[in-house]
Amino acid sequence: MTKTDPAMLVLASLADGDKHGYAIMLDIQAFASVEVGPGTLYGVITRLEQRGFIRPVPSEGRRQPYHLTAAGRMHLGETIASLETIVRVGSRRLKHA
Amino acid sequence: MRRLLDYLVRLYPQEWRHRYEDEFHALLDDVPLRWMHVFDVARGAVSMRMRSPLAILTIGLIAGAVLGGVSVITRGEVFESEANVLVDAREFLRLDENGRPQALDRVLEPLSSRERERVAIEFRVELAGGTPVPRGRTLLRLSGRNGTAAAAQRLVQRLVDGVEGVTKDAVVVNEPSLPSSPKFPRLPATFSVLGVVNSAAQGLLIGYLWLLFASWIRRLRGTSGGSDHQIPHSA
Repeated sequence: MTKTDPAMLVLASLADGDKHGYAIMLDIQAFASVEVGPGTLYGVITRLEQRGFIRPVPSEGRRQPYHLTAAGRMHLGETIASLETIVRVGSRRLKHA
Repeated sequence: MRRLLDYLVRLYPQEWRHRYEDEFHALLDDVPLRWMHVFDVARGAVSMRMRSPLAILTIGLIAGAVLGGVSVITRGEVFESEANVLVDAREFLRLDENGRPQALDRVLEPLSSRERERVAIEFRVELAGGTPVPRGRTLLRLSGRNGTAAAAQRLVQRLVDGVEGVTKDAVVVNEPSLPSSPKFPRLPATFSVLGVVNSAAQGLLIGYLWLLFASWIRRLRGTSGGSDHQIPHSA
Protein backbone atom coordinates (compact mmCIF):
# COMPACT_ATOMS: atom_id res chain seq x y z
CA MET A 1 0.00 0.00 0.00
CA THR A 2 1.22 3.53 -0.75
CA LYS A 3 0.07 6.95 0.36
CA THR A 4 -1.93 7.20 -2.85
CA ASP A 5 -3.70 3.81 -2.65
CA PRO A 6 -7.24 5.02 -3.47
CA ALA A 7 -8.96 2.14 -1.63
CA MET A 8 -7.27 3.03 1.66
CA LEU A 9 -7.92 6.73 1.09
CA VAL A 10 -11.65 6.04 0.62
CA LEU A 11 -11.78 3.84 3.74
CA ALA A 12 -9.92 6.53 5.72
CA SER A 13 -12.35 9.14 4.46
CA LEU A 14 -15.42 7.10 5.45
CA ALA A 15 -13.94 6.40 8.91
CA ASP A 16 -14.93 9.97 9.70
CA GLY A 17 -18.59 9.43 8.80
CA ASP A 18 -20.89 8.60 5.89
CA LYS A 19 -20.13 10.49 2.68
CA HIS A 20 -21.25 10.53 -0.96
CA GLY A 21 -18.83 10.41 -3.90
CA TYR A 22 -18.05 14.10 -4.27
CA ALA A 23 -17.67 14.55 -0.50
CA ILE A 24 -15.19 11.65 -0.46
CA MET A 25 -13.20 13.29 -3.30
CA LEU A 26 -13.06 16.63 -1.48
CA ASP A 27 -12.13 15.00 1.84
CA ILE A 28 -9.27 13.01 0.28
CA GLN A 29 -8.04 16.14 -1.44
CA ALA A 30 -8.08 17.95 1.91
CA PHE A 31 -6.42 15.37 4.17
CA ALA A 32 -4.06 13.62 1.71
CA SER A 33 -3.58 16.21 -1.06
CA VAL A 34 -4.44 13.48 -3.55
CA GLU A 35 -6.94 13.97 -6.36
CA VAL A 36 -8.97 10.86 -7.06
CA GLY A 37 -10.84 10.98 -10.38
CA PRO A 38 -14.51 9.96 -10.65
CA GLY A 39 -13.73 6.79 -12.64
CA THR A 40 -11.09 5.71 -10.15
CA LEU A 41 -13.36 6.52 -7.20
CA TYR A 42 -16.25 4.44 -8.48
CA GLY A 43 -13.92 1.58 -9.39
CA VAL A 44 -12.77 1.60 -5.77
CA ILE A 45 -16.31 1.98 -4.39
CA THR A 46 -17.41 -1.03 -6.48
CA ARG A 47 -14.54 -3.17 -5.18
CA LEU A 48 -14.94 -2.12 -1.56
CA GLU A 49 -18.66 -2.79 -1.65
CA GLN A 50 -18.05 -6.21 -3.20
CA ARG A 51 -15.68 -7.05 -0.36
CA GLY A 52 -18.16 -5.85 2.24
CA PHE A 53 -15.96 -3.02 3.50
CA ILE A 54 -18.50 -0.30 2.71
CA ARG A 55 -22.24 -0.27 2.12
CA PRO A 56 -24.65 2.28 0.67
CA VAL A 57 -26.99 3.98 3.13
CA PRO A 58 -30.52 5.01 2.18
CA SER A 59 -30.74 8.61 1.04
CA GLU A 60 -32.99 11.00 -0.79
CA GLY A 61 -31.80 12.39 -4.09
CA ARG A 62 -29.30 11.05 -6.57
CA ARG A 63 -26.21 11.35 -4.39
CA GLN A 64 -25.48 8.04 -2.73
CA PRO A 65 -23.69 8.13 0.64
CA TYR A 66 -21.59 5.18 1.81
CA HIS A 67 -20.94 3.79 5.26
CA LEU A 68 -17.81 2.05 6.53
CA THR A 69 -18.79 -1.44 7.75
CA ALA A 70 -17.26 -3.28 10.70
CA ALA A 71 -15.23 -5.39 8.26
CA GLY A 72 -14.00 -2.23 6.53
CA ARG A 73 -13.08 -0.64 9.86
CA MET A 74 -11.15 -3.77 10.85
CA HIS A 75 -9.35 -3.89 7.50
CA LEU A 76 -8.41 -0.21 7.76
CA GLY A 77 -7.18 -0.73 11.34
CA GLU A 78 -5.03 -3.71 10.33
CA THR A 79 -3.50 -1.83 7.40
CA ILE A 80 -2.77 1.24 9.52
CA ALA A 81 -1.18 -0.97 12.20
CA SER A 82 1.10 -2.61 9.63
CA LEU A 83 1.99 0.82 8.24
CA GLU A 84 2.75 2.08 11.72
CA THR A 85 5.16 -0.83 12.19
CA ILE A 86 6.90 0.03 8.93
CA VAL A 87 7.08 3.71 9.88
CA ARG A 88 8.42 2.93 13.37
CA VAL A 89 11.05 0.44 12.20
CA GLY A 90 12.03 2.60 9.21
CA SER A 91 12.41 5.73 11.36
CA ARG A 92 14.48 3.87 13.95
CA ARG A 93 16.79 2.43 11.30
CA LEU A 94 17.19 5.81 9.63
CA LYS A 95 18.30 7.33 12.93
CA HIS A 96 20.89 4.60 13.46
CA ALA A 97 22.15 4.62 9.87
CA MET B 1 -17.09 17.44 -22.30
CA ARG B 2 -20.18 16.39 -20.32
CA ARG B 3 -21.63 14.76 -23.44
CA LEU B 4 -18.38 12.87 -24.01
CA LEU B 5 -18.45 11.67 -20.41
CA ASP B 6 -22.08 10.52 -20.83
CA TYR B 7 -20.94 8.50 -23.83
CA LEU B 8 -18.03 7.02 -21.88
CA VAL B 9 -20.35 6.01 -19.04
CA ARG B 10 -22.32 3.98 -21.58
CA LEU B 11 -19.15 1.93 -22.15
CA TYR B 12 -19.32 0.55 -18.59
CA PRO B 13 -20.81 -2.96 -18.28
CA GLN B 14 -24.60 -2.99 -18.22
CA GLU B 15 -24.69 -4.72 -14.82
CA TRP B 16 -22.49 -2.00 -13.33
CA ARG B 17 -24.58 0.75 -14.89
CA HIS B 18 -27.76 -0.78 -13.52
CA ARG B 19 -26.32 -0.47 -10.01
CA TYR B 20 -24.19 2.71 -10.13
CA GLU B 21 -25.11 4.84 -13.15
CA ASP B 22 -27.46 7.30 -11.41
CA GLU B 23 -25.11 8.08 -8.55
CA PHE B 24 -22.13 8.21 -10.92
CA HIS B 25 -23.92 10.82 -13.05
CA ALA B 26 -24.73 12.73 -9.85
CA LEU B 27 -21.00 12.74 -9.04
CA LEU B 28 -20.13 13.95 -12.56
CA ASP B 29 -22.69 16.76 -12.11
CA ASP B 30 -20.95 17.82 -8.89
CA VAL B 31 -17.32 17.66 -10.06
CA PRO B 32 -15.84 20.68 -11.90
CA LEU B 33 -14.91 18.68 -15.00
CA ARG B 34 -11.45 18.67 -16.55
CA TRP B 35 -9.91 16.65 -19.33
CA MET B 36 -8.13 14.39 -16.85
CA HIS B 37 -11.57 13.26 -15.69
CA VAL B 38 -12.40 12.15 -19.22
CA PHE B 39 -9.33 9.91 -19.28
CA ASP B 40 -10.09 8.72 -15.76
CA VAL B 41 -13.66 7.72 -16.67
CA ALA B 42 -12.44 6.01 -19.88
CA ARG B 43 -9.84 4.09 -17.89
CA GLY B 44 -12.54 3.14 -15.38
CA ALA B 45 -14.72 1.74 -18.21
CA VAL B 46 -11.86 -0.38 -19.53
CA SER B 47 -11.01 -1.52 -16.02
CA MET B 48 -14.63 -2.55 -15.35
CA ARG B 49 -14.82 -4.40 -18.66
CA MET B 50 -11.56 -6.19 -17.95
CA ARG B 51 -13.02 -7.79 -14.83
CA SER B 52 -15.19 -10.26 -16.70
CA PRO B 53 -13.30 -13.34 -18.00
CA LEU B 54 -15.57 -13.59 -21.04
CA ALA B 55 -14.99 -9.89 -21.86
CA ILE B 56 -11.22 -10.29 -21.58
CA LEU B 57 -11.20 -13.30 -23.89
CA THR B 58 -13.50 -11.53 -26.37
CA ILE B 59 -11.36 -8.37 -26.33
CA GLY B 60 -8.21 -10.48 -26.84
CA LEU B 61 -9.83 -12.36 -29.73
CA ILE B 62 -11.09 -9.23 -31.48
CA ALA B 63 -7.93 -7.18 -30.85
CA GLY B 64 -5.77 -10.04 -32.17
CA ALA B 65 -7.92 -10.44 -35.28
CA VAL B 66 -7.92 -6.69 -36.01
CA LEU B 67 -4.16 -6.33 -35.48
CA GLY B 68 -3.50 -9.44 -37.55
CA GLY B 69 -5.80 -8.23 -40.33
CA VAL B 70 -4.19 -4.80 -40.44
CA SER B 71 -0.74 -6.37 -40.42
CA VAL B 72 -1.57 -8.77 -43.26
CA ILE B 73 -3.20 -6.05 -45.37
CA THR B 74 -0.46 -3.46 -44.88
CA ARG B 75 2.42 -5.88 -45.25
CA GLY B 76 1.29 -7.10 -48.65
CA GLU B 77 2.72 -10.02 -50.51
CA VAL B 78 6.36 -10.76 -51.10
CA PHE B 79 7.42 -12.78 -54.09
CA GLU B 80 10.81 -14.36 -54.33
CA SER B 81 12.64 -15.46 -57.43
CA GLU B 82 15.87 -17.40 -57.64
CA ALA B 83 18.46 -18.31 -60.26
CA ASN B 84 21.32 -20.79 -60.04
CA VAL B 85 24.36 -20.06 -62.17
CA LEU B 86 27.43 -22.26 -62.61
CA VAL B 87 30.55 -20.25 -63.37
CA ASP B 88 34.26 -20.95 -63.76
CA ALA B 89 35.62 -21.05 -60.20
CA ARG B 90 39.07 -19.67 -60.96
CA GLU B 91 37.67 -16.65 -62.81
CA PHE B 92 35.00 -16.04 -60.18
CA LEU B 93 37.33 -16.27 -57.19
CA ARG B 94 39.60 -13.42 -58.32
CA LEU B 95 39.45 -11.21 -55.25
CA ASP B 96 39.35 -7.42 -54.93
CA GLU B 97 41.34 -5.40 -52.36
CA ASN B 98 38.66 -6.18 -49.72
CA GLY B 99 39.02 -9.92 -50.24
CA ARG B 100 35.65 -10.23 -52.02
CA PRO B 101 35.22 -11.89 -55.41
CA GLN B 102 35.41 -9.15 -58.06
CA ALA B 103 32.49 -10.72 -59.93
CA LEU B 104 30.21 -10.09 -56.93
CA ASP B 105 31.04 -6.39 -56.98
CA ARG B 106 30.18 -6.26 -60.67
CA VAL B 107 26.82 -7.98 -60.03
CA LEU B 108 25.80 -5.54 -57.29
CA GLU B 109 27.18 -2.37 -58.88
CA PRO B 110 24.18 -1.52 -61.12
CA LEU B 111 21.65 -1.97 -58.29
CA SER B 112 20.35 0.85 -56.13
CA SER B 113 20.82 0.59 -52.34
CA ARG B 114 17.12 -0.26 -51.98
CA GLU B 115 17.42 -3.03 -54.54
CA ARG B 116 20.51 -4.38 -52.79
CA GLU B 117 18.45 -4.86 -49.62
CA ARG B 118 16.15 -7.17 -51.58
CA VAL B 119 18.74 -9.48 -53.03
CA ALA B 120 20.86 -12.27 -51.65
CA ILE B 121 23.83 -13.94 -53.31
CA GLU B 122 25.33 -17.18 -52.10
CA PHE B 123 28.16 -19.06 -53.75
CA ARG B 124 29.41 -22.56 -53.25
CA VAL B 125 32.62 -24.21 -54.38
CA GLU B 126 33.20 -27.96 -54.20
CA LEU B 127 36.95 -28.52 -54.21
CA ALA B 128 36.59 -32.20 -55.02
CA GLY B 129 33.77 -31.65 -57.46
CA GLY B 130 30.48 -33.57 -57.49
CA THR B 131 26.77 -32.85 -57.54
CA PRO B 132 25.51 -30.19 -58.04
CA VAL B 133 28.82 -28.36 -58.39
CA PRO B 134 31.34 -30.00 -60.74
CA ARG B 135 35.06 -29.59 -60.11
CA GLY B 136 36.42 -26.24 -61.17
CA ARG B 137 33.00 -24.61 -61.04
CA THR B 138 31.28 -22.29 -58.55
CA LEU B 139 27.54 -22.41 -57.96
CA LEU B 140 26.05 -18.94 -57.61
CA ARG B 141 22.60 -18.80 -56.04
CA LEU B 142 21.05 -15.43 -56.85
CA SER B 143 17.75 -14.51 -55.24
CA GLY B 144 15.63 -11.38 -55.11
CA ARG B 145 12.36 -10.33 -53.46
CA ASN B 146 9.75 -7.88 -54.67
CA GLY B 147 6.06 -6.98 -54.49
CA THR B 148 5.08 -8.85 -57.67
CA ALA B 149 6.27 -12.07 -59.24
CA ALA B 150 7.33 -10.30 -62.43
CA ALA B 151 9.32 -7.65 -60.52
CA ALA B 152 11.11 -10.33 -58.50
CA GLN B 153 11.97 -12.19 -61.69
CA ARG B 154 13.24 -9.00 -63.37
CA LEU B 155 15.44 -8.24 -60.35
CA VAL B 156 16.99 -11.70 -60.49
CA GLN B 157 17.44 -11.44 -64.24
CA ARG B 158 19.44 -8.24 -63.69
CA LEU B 159 21.62 -10.16 -61.23
CA VAL B 160 22.16 -12.91 -63.80
CA ASP B 161 23.02 -10.35 -66.49
CA GLY B 162 25.47 -8.75 -64.08
CA VAL B 163 27.57 -11.92 -63.82
CA GLU B 164 30.13 -10.71 -66.35
CA GLY B 165 33.72 -11.51 -67.02
CA VAL B 166 33.29 -15.15 -66.05
CA THR B 167 32.24 -18.17 -68.08
CA LYS B 168 28.60 -18.99 -67.41
CA ASP B 169 27.69 -22.65 -67.81
CA ALA B 170 24.00 -22.68 -67.01
CA VAL B 171 21.29 -20.31 -65.93
CA VAL B 172 18.02 -21.31 -64.33
CA VAL B 173 15.48 -18.69 -63.30
CA ASN B 174 12.94 -20.38 -61.05
CA GLU B 175 9.28 -19.66 -60.58
CA PRO B 176 8.79 -16.83 -58.08
CA SER B 177 7.16 -17.96 -54.86
CA LEU B 178 5.97 -16.58 -51.56
CA PRO B 179 8.78 -17.39 -49.16
CA SER B 180 6.60 -17.25 -46.07
CA SER B 181 3.99 -19.58 -47.49
CA PRO B 182 5.61 -21.73 -50.13
CA LYS B 183 2.75 -24.23 -50.18
CA PHE B 184 0.25 -21.55 -51.24
CA PRO B 185 2.27 -19.32 -53.54
CA ARG B 186 -0.75 -18.17 -55.51
CA LEU B 187 -3.34 -18.00 -52.71
CA PRO B 188 -2.76 -14.72 -50.89
CA ALA B 189 -6.40 -14.65 -49.69
CA THR B 190 -5.94 -17.97 -47.94
CA PHE B 191 -2.72 -16.69 -46.44
CA SER B 192 -4.48 -13.55 -45.16
CA VAL B 193 -7.31 -15.50 -43.54
CA LEU B 194 -4.78 -17.81 -41.90
CA GLY B 195 -2.88 -14.75 -40.68
CA VAL B 196 -6.00 -13.22 -39.11
CA VAL B 197 -7.06 -16.51 -37.49
CA ASN B 198 -3.54 -16.96 -36.18
CA SER B 199 -3.50 -13.45 -34.68
CA ALA B 200 -6.95 -13.94 -33.16
CA ALA B 201 -5.75 -17.14 -31.51
CA GLN B 202 -2.73 -15.28 -30.15
CA GLY B 203 -5.05 -12.55 -28.79
CA LEU B 204 -7.16 -15.25 -27.11
CA LEU B 205 -4.04 -16.78 -25.58
CA ILE B 206 -2.86 -13.39 -24.28
CA GLY B 207 -6.33 -12.80 -22.78
CA TYR B 208 -6.20 -16.19 -21.07
CA LEU B 209 -2.71 -15.48 -19.71
CA TRP B 210 -3.99 -12.12 -18.43
CA LEU B 211 -6.78 -13.93 -16.59
CA LEU B 212 -4.28 -16.32 -14.98
CA PHE B 213 -2.06 -13.39 -14.02
CA ALA B 214 -4.98 -11.40 -12.53
CA SER B 215 -6.15 -14.44 -10.56
CA TRP B 216 -2.61 -14.94 -9.24
CA ILE B 217 -2.40 -11.27 -8.18
CA ARG B 218 -5.76 -11.55 -6.40
CA ARG B 219 -4.62 -14.65 -4.54
CA LEU B 220 -1.40 -12.87 -3.58
CA ARG B 221 -3.40 -9.98 -2.15
CA GLY B 222 -5.70 -12.40 -0.34
CA THR B 223 -8.77 -11.07 -2.09
CA SER B 224 -9.73 -14.15 -4.03
CA GLY B 225 -13.37 -15.14 -4.23
CA GLY B 226 -16.14 -15.25 -6.76
CA SER B 227 -17.59 -11.99 -5.54
CA ASP B 228 -14.88 -10.02 -7.35
CA HIS B 229 -16.72 -10.38 -10.61
CA GLN B 230 -20.15 -9.61 -9.23
CA ILE B 231 -21.68 -6.17 -9.01
CA PRO B 232 -23.48 -5.64 -5.68
CA HIS B 233 -27.26 -5.32 -5.82
CA SER B 234 -28.89 -1.95 -5.39
CA ALA B 235 -29.16 -0.56 -1.89
